[in-house]
This record gives sequence, structure tokens and C-alpha cells, in this order.
Amino acid sequence: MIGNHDRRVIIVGGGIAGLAVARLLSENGLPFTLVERSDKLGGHTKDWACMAVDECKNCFCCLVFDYEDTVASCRNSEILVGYELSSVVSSDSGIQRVKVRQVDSGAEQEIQASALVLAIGFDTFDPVDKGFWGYGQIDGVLTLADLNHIIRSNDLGKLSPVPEGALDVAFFQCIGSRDKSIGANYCSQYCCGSAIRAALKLIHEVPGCNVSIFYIDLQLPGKTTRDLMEEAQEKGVRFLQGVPGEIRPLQEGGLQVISEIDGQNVAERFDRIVLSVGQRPSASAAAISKILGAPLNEFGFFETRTLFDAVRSPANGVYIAGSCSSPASIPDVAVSAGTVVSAIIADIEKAS
Amino acid sequence: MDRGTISNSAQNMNRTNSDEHSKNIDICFTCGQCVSRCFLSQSYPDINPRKIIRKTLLGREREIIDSEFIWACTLCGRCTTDCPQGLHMDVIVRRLRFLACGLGKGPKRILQGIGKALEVGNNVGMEPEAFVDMVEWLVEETTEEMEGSENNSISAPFDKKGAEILYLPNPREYTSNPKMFQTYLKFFSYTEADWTLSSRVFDITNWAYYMGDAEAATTLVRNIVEETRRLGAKILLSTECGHGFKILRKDAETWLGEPLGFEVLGIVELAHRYLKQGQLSIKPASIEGRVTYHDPCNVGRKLGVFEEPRQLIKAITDDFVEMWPNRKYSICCGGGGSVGQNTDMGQKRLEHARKKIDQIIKTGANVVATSCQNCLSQLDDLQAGNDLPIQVKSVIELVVESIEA
Repeated sequence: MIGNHDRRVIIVGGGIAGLAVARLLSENGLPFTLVERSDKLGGHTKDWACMAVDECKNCFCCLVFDYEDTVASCRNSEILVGYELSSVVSSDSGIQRVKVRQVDSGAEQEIQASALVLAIGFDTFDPVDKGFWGYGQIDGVLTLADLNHIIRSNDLGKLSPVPEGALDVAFFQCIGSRDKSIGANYCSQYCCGSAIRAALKLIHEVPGCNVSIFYIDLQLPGKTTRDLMEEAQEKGVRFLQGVPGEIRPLQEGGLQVISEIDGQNVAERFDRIVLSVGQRPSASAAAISKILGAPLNEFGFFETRTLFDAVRSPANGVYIAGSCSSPASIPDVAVSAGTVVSAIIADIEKAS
Repeated sequence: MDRGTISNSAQNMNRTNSDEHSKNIDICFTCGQCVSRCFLSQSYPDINPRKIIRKTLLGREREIIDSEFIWACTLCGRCTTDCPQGLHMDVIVRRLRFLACGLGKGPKRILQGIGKALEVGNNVGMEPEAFVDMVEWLVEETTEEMEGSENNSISAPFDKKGAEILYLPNPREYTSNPKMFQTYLKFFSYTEADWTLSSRVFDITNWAYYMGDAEAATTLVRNIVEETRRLGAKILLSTECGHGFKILRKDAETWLGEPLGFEVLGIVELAHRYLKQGQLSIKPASIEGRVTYHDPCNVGRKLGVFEEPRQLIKAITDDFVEMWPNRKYSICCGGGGSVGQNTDMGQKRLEHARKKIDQIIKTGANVVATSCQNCLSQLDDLQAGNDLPIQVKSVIELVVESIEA
């Protein structure tokens, strides 16, 4: 048995990162209290759609359901949905006690803690301030998150204005990522793969659907994503370098964009444009940073001790899982959860 | 700014110079956003802002320098609005123009204007006596026109030391469009401003800036700054002139390397200040027809003066309608950045303005207001050339009309 079971590991955030950490802690016999501020577990992942077509495309969205089931049956642990972190008492050796507050009633309770894991995730970039793309103003411009919600709710018919007609869809990559003008000079990691999976899904589900992906340069790490791209090319997805900076609604319907193709400025028409929105630091990061004394980095994500100690916060006893320290894809989050749990076990053993 | 040769122009562009936001252009990661935002992308299908950077970095800048594109570009800056890498295309194009000028490819009329400005103090080569005569004649004309009205104390003080405001006109006001000057005379009279003109410095334009000639541009700015200090004005008041206002507000201190010691204010901002202080006797709903506002690139996108003109217009009309897109996304009128003055470009600026015309027509407005002499002139030509059912007015013109209504 590792550690003292009267004290728990507090997990802040019940998205896929928090659930992954909870599951691994439980597998290692460590009790936890998971605190989730919203009224449901699962975070962003639960709103996103399975991208399987004839076979699984490794989007990993379904992991969240497995994790949730496992976590719900963990013994000696508790899950507090509708609660948030309100304060913490630490000593030199780390976190001692935390107080959590029920969001609705404001009622507080205190928990003896051995460690605290931040897993508060990210906020989806809201492109509404990027006026040239007209999100929220021009019909037919949606985000990758919107598209996922549409697919998830089996509402793809909504995309096609004419049931039998062709549907021309364009994806714009790096929206809210790699953009110094909004303090987001980083790659959001998940969007290239997600856009390609969504392209394959659309082609599979919507007859007559043509897809073009406008990118700066495709970021496709890992052993499966290159194959995905080749498959997409075989299925007719166009990959075009250069992201159009403006969307114009046409009088006769549809959306016009201009891009450079083979050295010429070419105007094209699309029915729908999907903005592949990046990951921004969570809006609650600043407040939580204050409560814990856990510093944020230049982008507003949680700082870690070093590049190679990427799960420990400079604040003693605070560990950082998933996308609240850096933009991450679902597999990255799962790996980070494993590293967090290893670090917690190592630190508890060292202390005892 | 050094006079660079073609072979090292990429290097020169990378060198820090006195221009704002001059950065290494090799940080461009070819995202391509600029391609589609350029209002010239369909008029010049084989060139675009991104290609300017790529070709320069690949040592093929001569193709750009020889192209008409750098002269059709209005330096509007729309293409690099919120550029992910923070590049400013207008800075890059001005640099390329400077290199072109060094090769004898500069537009003659503009270069002559710069010569006159450096020699005489204004780009039309008007001697101070002639300017004073012209103004005095305009004062008489205006006084005559206003006979019988309550407000008829038109005057134009010259070189009045200690006046609060030094007003700096655009030569258009005392050459091709004296009505504009009369409008401003009336504005100062109606607002009882403590103002003066200078008999030495009476040209806000800076064509050297258009040509990327930082040395000459700085000299012209220094003349203005020194005259303002000599007269002890608290406010250097810009006429409705986009680039002139932008340079004085945004670049002058950097170029001169010292604080100006006075405030640079646009006349629209001054009118807005009077409005807020209740000193502007305008009348609500006094302008007939639907009014829209064209954001001049320099006043809007580059200086962020968006709300003042709108609040003034809304104070005098009940029927204000926005063009779309507007404010920092506004589409250039097509006549700025020297294109309107560059006789080598013929009437191409009118053909390049299709998007602006469409935007105006869509509003259904009867009056298009703006606050830049260049935009006014271009919009006037667009109106005439296309028989548009609109009137083009400056914001101050509307304000004065409202006061007189």
C-alpha cells in the first residue's frame, strides 16, 4: 500500500485528463477526490464525435466513456460534481488540506490531501474577434467544435442546403494557433489530425461532399496520422497550402475565399467553412493559479518545473495533467496522466 | 534608411530602420492570410502580398520592384491586419518603392512633389505669399457667402504665437478643392477656436513617406514639428488627411527620436471633443438621407480612430448605416498611398475599387462620409465615374452643415 489513506489526491477537473489520472490512481490503490465544477464529467471530449467510418480512426473520443465507467466504480474515492476548489493549506512538504465549495450552494467542505492534480483543461478558441472570418456573422462559417457537435447529434443533414446537391466544405487550419497577434504563438497539437478525420467522416456520411483543407503546414506526428492524410488524398480531399484570411458571403449564396493556387490568386466558392480552432488556456487558470501559488507561463498555461519535469508545478505538491499545461491531443493527455501518477507515487514513496 | 542596391535589398529590409514595426521579413511562415485580404488580388492575379515576401527572400525582388503592383498598392495595411507574425506590408512595400526609386523607376509627379516640398515647404510649390493671398481671398469669399447669417466672423490668423491650435491643411484645400478650406474656416469660426495658420508650413502631406524615403520624410516632419514649437501651439491640428495625420500621431516621435512636446489631434477628434463638452451647436437629425462612413485606412486601421467620427455622424442623423466590413477590416477606397497622385497609374485606381463600390451600394446610403482628403477625392471620382446615387462628404462638412441647418 502506498501512502496514508486518510489523505487523498485531489483532482481538479473532470475532463479526460482528470478521469485518466483518477483511473490510474485507483489502479495503484491511491484514494482520490475528483472535483468538477460543471454539472457533468467528460469535458470537451464528451461533446466531440466518434470519427470512425468503416473502421476506427483513432480519434480516442470514446476513451472518455471507458474512463468514466472505471472511475465511477473506484472504491475509497469520491467524485464531486458541481464543486470547485476554494482554498488550500500547504506546508513545505506539500499540500495538507483543501477546501472545496459547492458551486450552487456555496457550502464548503475540507479534505485532508496528499497531493493536488490540476486537470482543468483548455478553452476552445473563440474566433468571434477575428472579424475577417465572420464567425457568428456569416451563415455557414462554423468551428471544428461546432461540426463535432453536429456530427455527434446526428444532424449532418443540417450541413447540406440541397439534399441531393454537392456540399463543398473547406477547413481552415491554425485558427487561434500559431498567432502572435493573440498571444498564441504555439501549435494546438490536435487540430490537423482532427480536421482530416472530420473530412473523412464527412465524405463517408454525406454523399456529394467535397472537402478542401487549407493549412499553413500540416502537423501530423505519430505513426497513424500520415496514413490518414494519404487516405484523405485518395478519397479526394484537397490539401492547399495557405489559409485564406477572409471569408466573403456571396449574394447568390455560398462563401467566397481567395487563395494562391499554382501561383495564381484564385477565388473559390464553398458552402461551409470549418475553422479548426485551437486551444487557449482555461479562463479559470488565473484564479486557480492564485489559490495554489502555481505560476502560469507566458501563454497562460500552467508552468511546469522544467521541460523534462513536465508534470510538477513549481508549487510543492501540485501536479499538472493534460492540456492545462500545454495544448494536447487525447493520446497526449493520456500519456501525461500516466506521468503525473508516476510522479505522485514516486514523491509519496520518497517522503515515507 | 540607407540607399540600398537591389542585390542586398532583402538584407536592407531586414535591417532595423526608423520605420515602425520594421521586422525581419523572413519570419513570415507563409500562412497566406494576406493573399485574400488584398483588394488587388483579383486585379493582379499573379502577385500578392505573400509573394512579395517570398520573392524578396528568394533573391527575386527585382521582379517585384519592376512590377506595377507596388505602385497600385495603397499601403492600406489590410492584408497584414493581425498578421500572426506581426509583419506590416505597408512598411515592406515602401521599402521596395525606395529601391525602385533608386533605379529611376519612381513616379515622376510624386518625386517632383517631394522636391518641391523639400525646397519650398509644400508639394505644390506654392510660395508663402501666394498661400497667404489665397487664404485671405477664401476668407473674403466665405464672409460674402455668409452675409446675413448670424455667424459671419470668419477670419484666418497667421503665425499667431501662443494660439492653442496650429491648423495644418492639405494642399488640396488651397488648390483643387478650396470649398474644403472654407468648410474648415467656418468650423473654426462656429466653434470659436483659438487657432492659427503658419505662413511657412502649410502642407501636412508627406509624399516622401509614400516612396519609402525615410530621410526626406523625416525632414518634412521636422519642419512641421519645429514650426509648431516656434509658434508655441499646444495642439497641432491635422486636417482630414489620413497619412499626414498618421505620420504625425504615430511616427513623428520615433523618427525624430524625441518627444514632440505638443498634442497631435485630428480635426474630427477636436470636433468630437467639442461635442462631448457641449460646445458644438449641431442639430439632431439635420442631415437628409441615409449616411454611411468610410474608415480611411490611416485614420481607422492604423490609428484606431473609429468611434469619434461615428458619434459625430450619429449626433446629426437618425439614419446611419455601417458598411460591412468596417473599422479595422474596412476595405480601402483604392486611392491612397500615392496612387491618387501617381499620374503613371492613370485611372486604374478606379477599376481597382470594385469592392469598395459594391460595399457602398449595399448600404443604400445617400451620403458617404469620410475623413481623409485622399479618400474624399477617390470617392468623388468613384461617384462620378460610376454615376453612384451618393454624395461624398467629409465628416467636418457634415458637422458644419448641421450647425448651419
